[in-house]
Amino acid sequence: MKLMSLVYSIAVFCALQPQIILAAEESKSHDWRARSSVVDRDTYAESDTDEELVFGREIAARILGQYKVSGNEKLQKYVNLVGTTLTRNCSRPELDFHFVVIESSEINAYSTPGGYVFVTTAALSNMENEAELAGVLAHEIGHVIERHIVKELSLKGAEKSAVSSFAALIGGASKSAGIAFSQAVDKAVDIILRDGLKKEDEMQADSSAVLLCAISGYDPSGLVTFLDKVGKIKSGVGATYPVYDVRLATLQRAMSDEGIAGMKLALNTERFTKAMKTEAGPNPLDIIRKVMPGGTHDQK
Amino acid sequence: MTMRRFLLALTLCSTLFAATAYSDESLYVQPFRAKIYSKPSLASEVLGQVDSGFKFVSTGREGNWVKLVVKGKQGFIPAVQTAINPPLGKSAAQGAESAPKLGARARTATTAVVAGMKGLTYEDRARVTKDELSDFEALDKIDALKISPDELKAFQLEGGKR
Repeated sequence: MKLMSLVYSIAVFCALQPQIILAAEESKSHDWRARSSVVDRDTYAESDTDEELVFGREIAARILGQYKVSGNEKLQKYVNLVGTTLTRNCSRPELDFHFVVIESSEINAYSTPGGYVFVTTAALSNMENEAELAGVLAHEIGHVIERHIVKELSLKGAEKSAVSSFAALIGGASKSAGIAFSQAVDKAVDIILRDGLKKEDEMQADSSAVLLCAISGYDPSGLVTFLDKVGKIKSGVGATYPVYDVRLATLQRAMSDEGIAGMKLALNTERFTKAMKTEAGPNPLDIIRKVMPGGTHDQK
Repeated sequence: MTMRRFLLALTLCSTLFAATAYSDESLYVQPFRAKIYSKPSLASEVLGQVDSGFKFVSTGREGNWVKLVVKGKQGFIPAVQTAINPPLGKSAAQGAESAPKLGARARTATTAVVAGMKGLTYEDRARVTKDELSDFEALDKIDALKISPDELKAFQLEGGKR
């Protein structure tokens, strides 16, 4: 009888175990370190990548509809070289990442699914070395790698469900699918440019960024020094970021835990300074703007 | 408790144990090369290097690191370098970029085709969006900027300075 009761108790415990685990994971979801251990590592097929890219291009085109691309081709090339150095070491080898300098007085950077990464001229002008640039780009790469926007919109890969919401949204031929696609793009643009991602996503991108920088040979302190500067400038106003001091403290703890806090790797200060001093070629639009009333605007 | 209930409980117990006790997952190294470290720290000893596509069974995660057993020793690989699926080819990702590069005048037609593929006319699509402009011509220029392996190699050799 005792044996039977014991077996019955174990069965009840096992039946409840998934709920216990779920509850534990739910409580972990507010902690980025724990979250990175339980993060949903979806499986994605090649078709999903294709659809993610179509979606990402649509969002990137929308961002470019609002911001002007810097005409400084040498600087664009330089930023792409730094970004590609990082992406060679990351977990999305199927993507061709594109790094774009956009003109804006707002200190910020954005990324879209599919690998379009934007950094503003104001952000660049507040950087002192290549490691800081690498840190910012790596943070945005982190959002792409973890498919934060895709997950925020609850778009699942083909292998995750019988009917892929991604495929239905992107590949659907019906009018309603088209409307849903446009609305998903609108929502994604809102998240990227206005609302921001979840705090946990930002912190996860921070922690993976410093690791990616260190793996790629860049001093991981670059992101820390840049965020410190921006935090002081913005005083925590940045709507798309968690409060800077909390973010910095979390990041520094992560760097310490992962043995990269004291690493002295490349800053490439001289090369960065030289790249920033490259002259943009004459842009006919700038000449027109000089004679037009209203002057230059951040946004188109 | 009847024997039937006992057997039912026993079956339930063993099934649930089997489903919950083992959570290891197969992972693949994604970039062209990744190092295996002795601890979840870049400052720790490097146990070896593996190439893209290397498959391993992860025995767990520790922050941004995945655990594995290599030659009888516990090792760690940065999670940012692994994924649950084998490295995907670029062919799929480039499919969406393979549209012919057209001039600005042809852009409206291209956009109409893309919109049409989604079951919408250009006008429909403009109506359902928030009247925000898109600039596909700028996007085409961005796509056209490519970094060659030689350029990247030279850039990396030139760097590494403080």
